[in-house]
Amino acid sequence: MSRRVSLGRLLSASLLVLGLGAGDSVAADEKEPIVVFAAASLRNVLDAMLSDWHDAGGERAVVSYAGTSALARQIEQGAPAHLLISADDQWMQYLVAAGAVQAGSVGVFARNRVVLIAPANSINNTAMQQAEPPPVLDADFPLAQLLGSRGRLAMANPAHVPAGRYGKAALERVGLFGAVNSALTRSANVRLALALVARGECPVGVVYASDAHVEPAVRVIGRFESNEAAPVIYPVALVKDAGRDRPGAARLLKWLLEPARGEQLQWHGLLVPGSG
Amino acid sequence: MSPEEWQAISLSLRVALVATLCSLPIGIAVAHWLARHEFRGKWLVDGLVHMPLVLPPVVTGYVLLLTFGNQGLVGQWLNEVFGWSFAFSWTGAALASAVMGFPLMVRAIRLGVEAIDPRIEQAAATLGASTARVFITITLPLALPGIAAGAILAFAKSLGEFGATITFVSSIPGQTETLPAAIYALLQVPGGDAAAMRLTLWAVALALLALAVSEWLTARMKKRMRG
Repeated sequence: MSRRVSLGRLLSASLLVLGLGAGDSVAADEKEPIVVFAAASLRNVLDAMLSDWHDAGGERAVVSYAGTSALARQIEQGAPAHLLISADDQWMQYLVAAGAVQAGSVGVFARNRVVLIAPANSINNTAMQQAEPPPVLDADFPLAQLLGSRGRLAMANPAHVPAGRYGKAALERVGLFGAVNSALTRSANVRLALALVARGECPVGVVYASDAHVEPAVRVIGRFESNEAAPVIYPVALVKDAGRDRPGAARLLKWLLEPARGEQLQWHGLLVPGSG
Repeated sequence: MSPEEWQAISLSLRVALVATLCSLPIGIAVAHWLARHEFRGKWLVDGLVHMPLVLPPVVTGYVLLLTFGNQGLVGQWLNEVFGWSFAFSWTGAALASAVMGFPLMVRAIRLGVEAIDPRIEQAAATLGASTARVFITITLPLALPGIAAGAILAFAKSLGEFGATITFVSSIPGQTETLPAAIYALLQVPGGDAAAMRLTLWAVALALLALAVSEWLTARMKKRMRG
């Protein structure tokens, strides 16, 4: 316990040194920010939301963005975070089982879905690829044809990246995975897969709708039916001792889950929890 | 050890070996040039050589993707003219490793060349040896300790290269999933720790072995020079 507190002090002290708290005349104890650990892909939307939260008089909160697996391991080792927003339900369940987050506090921050994309300036345009809205994919979709003999499908690694896992499941459900299994890029994260399509290195890719939303160099050429059995969700939870030394963290969690946040989510290409 | 783990180790060794052997002639030429010639803009060449050492590896990988990807400036040309493609293949991993190890290689070889008394080379030249002959019979043998150290350092660096490789050619099992990429992948999932630890021990053992060989070679060369 004392170790965790001292780590917290250390972190806030270093934040002060970094200038985040510079000029504050109030004692550091009262001005310690709420520390949020969040999946790197949530940077844009969460920064915007916390700015709203602050404008509405909320306590100061700082966010450490990184890959979910790194954050989960840090929290398991007692990192001084108050709130975790994960891009992966498996890691959240792992932390719940390990007792590192408060099981009763787990909620769904946002939902997402995977889509099939192509470079926006692709010369390979067929009538189907230009359909608006993009068609829901089925087994007849000429995916192998779009790839050609040497092309690869840009996708995060299904073995360990959530975006890859969801992409694989979506392709499997429509019977298209077998045709592309040997031609995946297995990128280290979904943004690298996005960059490969945006740069024209790969003729097609599978990424989150929110990724396609922020990259003008790609366009969505196919959607997948929503998978109610394994939805793409971003779970959020309070870290083990957060409620005790930081009541503000619980207030922030509650605020993040309010329906009013839906507008910001949609603006950033995400879906409101509970929608399809 | 599972077949996948062995695959990652053997791929890493192949990538590191090819990267080192292919970059060695260029490394020797650049090191010799920097050690023996004064010219305008030398600082720029020196800086460029050292770029991969100081840039974030992810940036180096991205620059490689922009340059040697199938849509890249050089990559497109290589693909059209020779049908070569570095994208998503083990040769791309070797290219990334070679670029990342290059500064270390050049630094070591340059020190080796600079340690040679230029008067020995001049003496050979006054006795009628051509520039090429001086280089091959005098400079190269005398610089061997530096060359060996540089090659092994580059080899060890290649074994551990991660950021540039995964950004440039991703991590496809059997093609581009090298030892560090396999360790990284295992750490991304809950419960992958045991396998990750096994591979980590392998990585440590291989790196130590390479460094030990480098030390041994250097010591042997020094002894031979004096003797």
